[in-house]
Amino acid sequence: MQLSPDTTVLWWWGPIPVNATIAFTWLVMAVLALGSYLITRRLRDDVSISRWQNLLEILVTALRDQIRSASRQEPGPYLPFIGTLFLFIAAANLFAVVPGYQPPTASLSTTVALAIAVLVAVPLYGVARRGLRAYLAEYLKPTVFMLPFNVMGEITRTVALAVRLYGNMMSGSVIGAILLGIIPFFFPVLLQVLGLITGLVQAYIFAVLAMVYIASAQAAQGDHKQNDTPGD
Amino acid sequence: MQVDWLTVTAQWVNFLILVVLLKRFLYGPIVRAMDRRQQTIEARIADARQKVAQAEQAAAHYQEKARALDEQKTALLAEARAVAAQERAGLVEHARREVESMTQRWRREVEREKAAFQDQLRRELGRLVIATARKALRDLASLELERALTAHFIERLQGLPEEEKHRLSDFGSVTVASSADLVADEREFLVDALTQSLGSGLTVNFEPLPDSALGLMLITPAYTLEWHLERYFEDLGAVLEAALTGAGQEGSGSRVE
Repeated sequence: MQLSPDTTVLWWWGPIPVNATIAFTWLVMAVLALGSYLITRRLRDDVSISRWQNLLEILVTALRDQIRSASRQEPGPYLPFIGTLFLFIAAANLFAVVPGYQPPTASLSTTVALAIAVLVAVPLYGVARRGLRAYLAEYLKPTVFMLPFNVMGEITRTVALAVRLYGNMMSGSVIGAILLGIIPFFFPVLLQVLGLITGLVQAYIFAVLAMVYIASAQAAQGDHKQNDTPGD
Repeated sequence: MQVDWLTVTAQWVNFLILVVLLKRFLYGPIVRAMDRRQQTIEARIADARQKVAQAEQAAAHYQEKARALDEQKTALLAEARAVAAQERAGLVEHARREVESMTQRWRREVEREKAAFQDQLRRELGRLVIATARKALRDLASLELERALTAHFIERLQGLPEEEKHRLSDFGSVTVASSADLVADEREFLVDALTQSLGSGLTVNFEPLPDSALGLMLITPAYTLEWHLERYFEDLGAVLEAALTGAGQEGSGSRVE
């Protein structure tokens, strides 16, 4: 039994092994990008729109609303990053109903990569909004001695984000595999349904947490909320 | 639980690529389309508001116009009523005047007819009276009457003042006009009487007096002495007319008891 799709190497691209994680990520990316392209190439400004456009508009509007409520800011600059996080994780998890598919989010490498993306995005958004000096000054608060703890907080927060997603998705796959061995029929189906809900919830939690981190790093002076993260 | 850093790098790059792809194909177009639709809807709402405002303005305008028309109609109606009343009053007045004028005309006509009738009656009556009187007088004494007239005339002549006698005799000739054809002795008697009263040497001419039934005239260019029966009849006519008029007036006002 494999715990990570990283170990399943599908083919070699020269010296580089293309494992299941990367391959299925490309699949998810292709579906998302191609679907978006097909739907959005014939957009209408009119009041009567196609049902697919309606679906995407509902999706985008919901994302913007969530970003707005989590950050109390206009969602414009954050939508591509946070929205992609949610859509990628949700799509990667939901495709798990397809037989033979291995969710890339069940790989710690993927979740670490996503967490690193958040780790990079937090200071970038902070600097873009408040300027480099004001952002760096946050690490020296309340005293300069807190600098190591603040830096450590950033890193552990990122690691927690990565491990949370990985653990949930991997455990879903592992529990499904174990139950398949004990009760071969019927029960794994229920678990699959539960897995779909869990997948969506994880995508939502990951995206909202990322938004909260970014927003808290941009919080005004004196509104220091590092490490104030809700558990799942 | 392993972390394959090659996969981590690949996934990181994959994720960035996906961000760019979705931004290009999903968020950008969808947000732009929604913004455009929002703008379109806002423009339509603004347009609708403007049209509603225009419609309200137009409605107010037309209501005002309708009210003005109503007022105008009321005013015109009142004016028409006043004119009609005036016209009716004028027509009534005209008709009243016409009736009055017709009444007056009718009254005048009646008066005229009455007067004509009275006149005719008077004439007829006078004529009848005179004819009757004349017939009676003729029957009584036709010749004696002429003689009595001559005697009465001569008596009158003699009774004239001297001044008037002179005026009669100044021209030296007089004309005697008689209704009856005077016989010779009568003429002689008259000439004698005239000569005696007015002086000798007076030329006397005789001529008939056709307009009178019984009459005698002594004519000079300066003076005329006359007597004829028509004078009495004229007086009688006047008395008759007075009596008839008085009787008519009394009759119209009296009551039969």
